[in-house]
Amino acid sequence: MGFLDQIAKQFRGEYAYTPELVLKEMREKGIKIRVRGLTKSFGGLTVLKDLDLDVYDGETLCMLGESASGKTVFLKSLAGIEHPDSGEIYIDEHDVMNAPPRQLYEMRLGLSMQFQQGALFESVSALENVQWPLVMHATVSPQEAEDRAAKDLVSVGLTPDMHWKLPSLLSGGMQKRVALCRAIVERKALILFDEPNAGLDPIKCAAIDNLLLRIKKQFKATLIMNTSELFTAYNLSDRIGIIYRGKIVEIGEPGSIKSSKHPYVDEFTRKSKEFLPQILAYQEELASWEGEKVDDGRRDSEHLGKTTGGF
Amino acid sequence: MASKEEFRKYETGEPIVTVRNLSKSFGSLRVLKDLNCDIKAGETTVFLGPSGTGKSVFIKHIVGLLKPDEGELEVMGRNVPTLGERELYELRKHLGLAFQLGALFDSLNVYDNVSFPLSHHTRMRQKEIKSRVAEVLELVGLPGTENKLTTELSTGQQKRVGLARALALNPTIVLFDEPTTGLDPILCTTIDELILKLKTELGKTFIVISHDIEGTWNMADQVGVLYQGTLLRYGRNADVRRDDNIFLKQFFGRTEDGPMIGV
Amino acid sequence: MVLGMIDKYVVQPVYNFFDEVGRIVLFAMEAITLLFRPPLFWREILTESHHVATTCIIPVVCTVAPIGCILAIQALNILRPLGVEKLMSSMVVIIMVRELSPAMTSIMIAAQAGTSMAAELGTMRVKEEIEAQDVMAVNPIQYLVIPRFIALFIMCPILTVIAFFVGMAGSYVISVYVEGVNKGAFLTGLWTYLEMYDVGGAIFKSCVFGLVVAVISCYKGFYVTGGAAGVGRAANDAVVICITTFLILNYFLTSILWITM
Ligand SMILES: Nc1ncnc2c1ncn2[C@@H]1O[C@H](COP(=O)(O)OP(=O)(O)O)[C@@H](O)[C@H]1O
Ligand SMILES: Nc1ncnc2c1ncn2[C@@H]1O[C@H](COP(=O)(O)OP(=O)(O)O)[C@@H](O)[C@H]1O
Ligand SMILES: [Mg+2]
Ligand SMILES: [Mg+2]
Repeated sequence: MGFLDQIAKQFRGEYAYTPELVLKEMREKGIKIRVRGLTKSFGGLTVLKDLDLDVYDGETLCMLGESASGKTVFLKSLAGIEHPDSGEIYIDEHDVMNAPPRQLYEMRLGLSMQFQQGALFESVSALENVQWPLVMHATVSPQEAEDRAAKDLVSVGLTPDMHWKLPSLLSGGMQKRVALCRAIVERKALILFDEPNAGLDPIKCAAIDNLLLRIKKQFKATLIMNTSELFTAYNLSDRIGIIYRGKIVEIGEPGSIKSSKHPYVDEFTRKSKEFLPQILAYQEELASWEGEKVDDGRRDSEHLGKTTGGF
Repeated sequence: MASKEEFRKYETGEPIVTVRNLSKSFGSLRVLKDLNCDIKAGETTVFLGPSGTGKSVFIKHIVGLLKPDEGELEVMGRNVPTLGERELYELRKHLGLAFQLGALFDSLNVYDNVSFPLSHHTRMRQKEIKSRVAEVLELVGLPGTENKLTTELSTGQQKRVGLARALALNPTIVLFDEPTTGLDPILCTTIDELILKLKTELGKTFIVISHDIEGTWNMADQVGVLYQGTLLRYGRNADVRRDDNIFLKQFFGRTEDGPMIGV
Repeated sequence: MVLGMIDKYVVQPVYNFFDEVGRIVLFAMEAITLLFRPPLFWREILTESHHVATTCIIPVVCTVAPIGCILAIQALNILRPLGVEKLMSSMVVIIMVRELSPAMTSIMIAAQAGTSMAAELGTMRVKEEIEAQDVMAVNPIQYLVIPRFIALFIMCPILTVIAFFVGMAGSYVISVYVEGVNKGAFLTGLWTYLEMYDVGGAIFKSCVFGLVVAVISCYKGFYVTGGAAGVGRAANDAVVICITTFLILNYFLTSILWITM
């Protein structure tokens, strides 16, 4: 009875740590996260199957894969909110798979995550959303928390008049930014991003990419990012991992992914191979552009674009 | 009366939708400004553009869900803004709408979703409906999934069920709002190819809204780029792709450096 | 074949029932252990209590007042021919204090606050807000569930007392101004049989009912699965299970507290 075990653990709460030997090896090689043989299935559907991965300290790793290939499940497993069937996950000295809930909370003090659907609290404003983790952990004074949150929001292009709006009144792109802010506001050493720019138009996508690039350069954090946008992955990552049928079939620097011989990776990147030179050519022609942005002042009402987004 | 007139068959290349000086405002916000275009039968027309520029609003005008403030809009020989409710429903039977994700009925299975327009708009018998549903599911590449719940399907499959529902009444024009947004490259290609196949095999007219630029180059005959309510460019696929306009270059080059607003 | 039927229609439902009950009990135990572990979120407790009080007071008043009225009329129908009109208020007050005000109040609280809690928590679960809190190292049971427990545990007795006064006011108005019962007789009759024990019992009952609403609605909301439809189902289940549970529980509590001594 998994559920009973879980409850029992909650009451007993023996902490579980990474085995000495593994920890030593991880420290030597500069590995922050080690995943071995991770397996998860839902009913008859095996989503992750014997997945192995090492994530180095301070690197930016993009996980690419089709939708429903298990990217989100993998990321949630790292954060300890999805419970894989078997395997090992070590984050620094914590043994995530066997840690009792109390230890998980301690471990999570060292990481933050941006959820695919944003997971913003609908009942409070954008600013309160962003300052929430700071306020809850009470590491800084409430005033300081608000200042930091506001500063971060401004830095991602949300002007102070947007700060007190409820998330549902913001456009899709703005909600993504608020979610991003909430993930970075505490400057954790490990940040997990789940599809930070999925579903946005190309220009907004580019804006978020630039933002992530800035985050990557400014903080010396380890970033793990799920995405299905090849272009983003090429732009941002130190390494790219491709998930297929529950395994990582290819992992390496962007260059080596582009020239991979693996048939699936080839299929996945074919479209980009065809069009990447063209995109870069367009960008080149624009590189020297200096002029005014054209705006007819409709941004305030943009939120309605979201609610009427379908038909 | 216009509605008594039969819906005729359109030859490939004949204008099936004509838009003249279409304008629409919501309050003080001018969403569409003086739009002009001809959409040709038997072709795929793709509308691109940043979100919030009025693409969905435009497509709502075509199906008569919104009325323009000014201008004319003719769809299959009917002047849409002047149609009464009955005539509008008559017209909509020839228009298939594939909604953005989320418009499937969660609580129903695939069969009920796809047969919904059939049982509401036609007097088909249960058996005929059944075979029609099987037929369209086959078309979109999901044969035999009738009894699955839509929540059990993957995103790509859900999009295809949406398309199947749009095709159920065998419409002349199929409108598809952002079929590939947020999907991975492989799925995007699959859906683009599906649209291409349906166009060539069934001779349908497709009007597609998309954010997927590469997919557009692959499947579109005609491309329109909307920005802040105006049609920046409307022309053949190859012409638009090679256009010199700085706005287009920024959009196709996916960068923030340029006149378009990012936030 | 037959075994399959038995399995499907008898064994499985019975198993599911006890499984569910077990989970609810474990959930309650977990919440109660966490109750004694800091931090306690005072602001959330206050907002939740305020929310419960403001949304429930009107439904409670509107159901209990008419019940007070009909009780008065029916009691008079029986007692007047017997010539013991002055016993009417004693009878009404006993029924009101011991049974109707705790039960009616809890039913209205379950219908109003319970469903809204189940739906609210369910929506948060569906939108991954609960997971998000978890990842931000804040225990969602402490942050979301415990304030609701405390709010219901406190507000349920308070609303019960209010309901009692409102119900008695209803029966006073009907009996004195419509049926013409003597004002003084009514007021003295109130104290003939009523004891502090009854009031204490009623408050105890309503605390228990408050907890039942809290545990069941929060449990149903907290573990929602299946999107928007799941949230609807959770809210629906919550109110039905709550009301059934305390009407059954009410019988046992009454028999423990007031079995003819
Ligand atoms: N809680 C769950 N219950 C059942 N199936 C799930 C659950 N979470 C994820 N899945 C399934 O796991 C697969 C992978 O999901 P996910 O990790 O979200 O994919 P993605 O790579 O798009 O993020 C999907 O087929 C999904 O249906
Ligand atoms: N029913 C409506 N009422 C008011 N404003 C609307 C309505 N529908 C759309 N808008 C506005 O029209 C603009 C264009 O929206 P839309 O056509 O949905 O954009 P998109 O190009 O992303 O599909 C948005 O700024 C939106 O705020
Ligand atoms: Mg995902
Ligand atoms: Mg739209």
